[in-house]
Amino acid sequence: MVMKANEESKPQNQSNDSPKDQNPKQIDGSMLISMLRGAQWYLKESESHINSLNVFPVPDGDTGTNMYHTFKEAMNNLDGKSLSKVNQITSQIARGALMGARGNSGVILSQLLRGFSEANKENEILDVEQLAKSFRRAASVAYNGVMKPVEGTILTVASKAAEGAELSSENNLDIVNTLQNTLEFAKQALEKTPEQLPALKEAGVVDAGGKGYVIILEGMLRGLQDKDDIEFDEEILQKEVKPEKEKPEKEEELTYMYDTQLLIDIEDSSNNVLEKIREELNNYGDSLIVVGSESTVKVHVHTNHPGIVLEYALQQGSIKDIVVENMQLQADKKTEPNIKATEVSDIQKNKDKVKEIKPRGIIAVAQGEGFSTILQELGVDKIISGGNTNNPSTNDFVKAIKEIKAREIMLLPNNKNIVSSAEQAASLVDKKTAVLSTTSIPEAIASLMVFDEDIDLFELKDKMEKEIEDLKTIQITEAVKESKINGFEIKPGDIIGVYNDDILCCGENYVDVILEIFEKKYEGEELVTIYFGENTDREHALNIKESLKEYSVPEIEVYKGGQPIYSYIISLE
Amino acid sequence: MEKMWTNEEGSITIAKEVIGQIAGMAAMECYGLVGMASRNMQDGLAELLGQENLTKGLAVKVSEDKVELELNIIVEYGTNIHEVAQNIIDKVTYTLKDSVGVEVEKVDVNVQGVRVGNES
Repeated sequence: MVMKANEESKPQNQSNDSPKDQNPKQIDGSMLISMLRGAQWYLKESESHINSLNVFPVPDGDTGTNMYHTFKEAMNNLDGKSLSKVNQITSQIARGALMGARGNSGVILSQLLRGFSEANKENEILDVEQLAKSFRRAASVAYNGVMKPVEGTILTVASKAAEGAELSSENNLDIVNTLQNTLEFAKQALEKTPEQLPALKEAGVVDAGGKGYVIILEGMLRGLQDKDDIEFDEEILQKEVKPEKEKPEKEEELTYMYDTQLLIDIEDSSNNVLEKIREELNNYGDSLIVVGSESTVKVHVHTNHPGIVLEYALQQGSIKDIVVENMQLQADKKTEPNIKATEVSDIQKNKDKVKEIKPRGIIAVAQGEGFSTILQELGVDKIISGGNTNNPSTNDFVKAIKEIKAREIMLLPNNKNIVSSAEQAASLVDKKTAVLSTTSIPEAIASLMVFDEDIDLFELKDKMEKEIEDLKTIQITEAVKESKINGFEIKPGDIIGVYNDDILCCGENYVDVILEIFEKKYEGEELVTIYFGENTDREHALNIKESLKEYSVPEIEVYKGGQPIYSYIISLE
Repeated sequence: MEKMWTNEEGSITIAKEVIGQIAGMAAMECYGLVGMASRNMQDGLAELLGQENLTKGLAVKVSEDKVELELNIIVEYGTNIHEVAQNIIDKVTYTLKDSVGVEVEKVDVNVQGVRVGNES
């Protein structure tokens, strides 16, 4: 968003070319409903954009989704009632929002709407003075609801918005101009949120809740102005038909086209290197953020000349993790995820796969490039690296779930120690997520064979789990220390066969151990698959296949798993 | 009893007061919660506690591998109390898992009072 400095605190004047009836002095019930419909529509449009601003790994889901659902519930409360008076409408809205509040941001939104309603107990129509009072009341009720109000959030934005409305009221402006000023003040406050909350600044975003409030105000204004052009009925809302006018994001005046981000490893570090870079780059664009230490600096700037920025950065040292995005295209697509510096490469890598919204995404935990490739070929959208020695955290799952553009997610933890954090993650996210209790990668591979997008997610989970019931997974590794277990005396370097977490046998060479396992566990299964690890090779694996001849297995397949620790993982099914 | 982990190199203990304090701070960040209520309720009055007495409003129980919490809170009038309580449970569970690494088995939220905001 680009703000002109001279608009800072001066109320806008009425534009000359607007017809008279577009600049009313009062709002009646039907106008208010148009405004609220406009807000609902615009909030829906912006839902994923607001979601992408989430920087805190909060457990209450996505701000945009929560705010939209709360607002939708509020609006649904108007259904079937023919209300013509402002006070009737606002009190129904407030009640609907109260009942439908979802998540932290939803509860705050419900309080804002309650405040707005409280200010209008007696009013059948709204004039500018009342409108200003309503915005003020909304903000102060919202502030009341928390023990420690934090500045740099939706609360700050709401309070500044009220200031804009009050100033307009003092200057006797009409409704449209008042709303414009309210919006303008809210936008300015929103732009400043990164200054107030370091976490926002670090991520290079504005506050998501605050953005939501700005969207609502903007939607209200558009609903008022466009009410003759657009029918904001349910059908249109569902189809998400855009009005004929400009696209919303374009109104944000893209003075600078390219969002440019990079990291600089500074060569000659001096004390005020950050300051110096900031000063210099300020000439080339806006939304400038320069953060970091004396040795590494992260730069984020919106500019029309990314080349010059990069040249300048090169003079300071070596550069990496460069991202240049065309914001015009971004604004058109509006669903680009928010990219943080550290995630850039990951996201880029996966971009091709996650671009399209698909009905169902799959996330699997795996170690070893062979397994990763196999799983990806079977349709896994995202591999989280992890396994025995490196259990991914709940947060890793939550991040991955959010990253994948799918409505439903299937998680394959592939290790019994990881199942619980996957389940935890599933309970924290908004998306419908099922956790398959796979405890090894062969189980994941077997279960993916029956993956299906057409049946219910949890039915599918049962179906997939059924598929792995009869699967046996045997893992072969070398002992690293002496131990006595299950009656075996194990010396370092011994080969051990593990089945269901139990040591099944041990010996001095792979072939003997594997034959012994087969003696104990092979019960005429039709398919045996051998995945060899990073510390062995295909030739050796083929030797083992050869030695299994006497069991006359119908089919033995050998694949590269590339896993660490286990030289072989063998599945029988 | 405090929460304790042991491995070959040593052990980590976290006093239950610490768990309580972190839970309290996390809860306070939730919108809709305007105070903690004292657990000593013999006189039947919910007492609004200041920040320094925060932990009086909550009880922490630590056993072998699980933590149970009880929070006595006061909420703002006009909020969706169920949603606020749900947010608090989510936030506290998440924060403890994230910053302390303890799994919270159970969080009981007792809403002991409703504060009617100051009329402006």
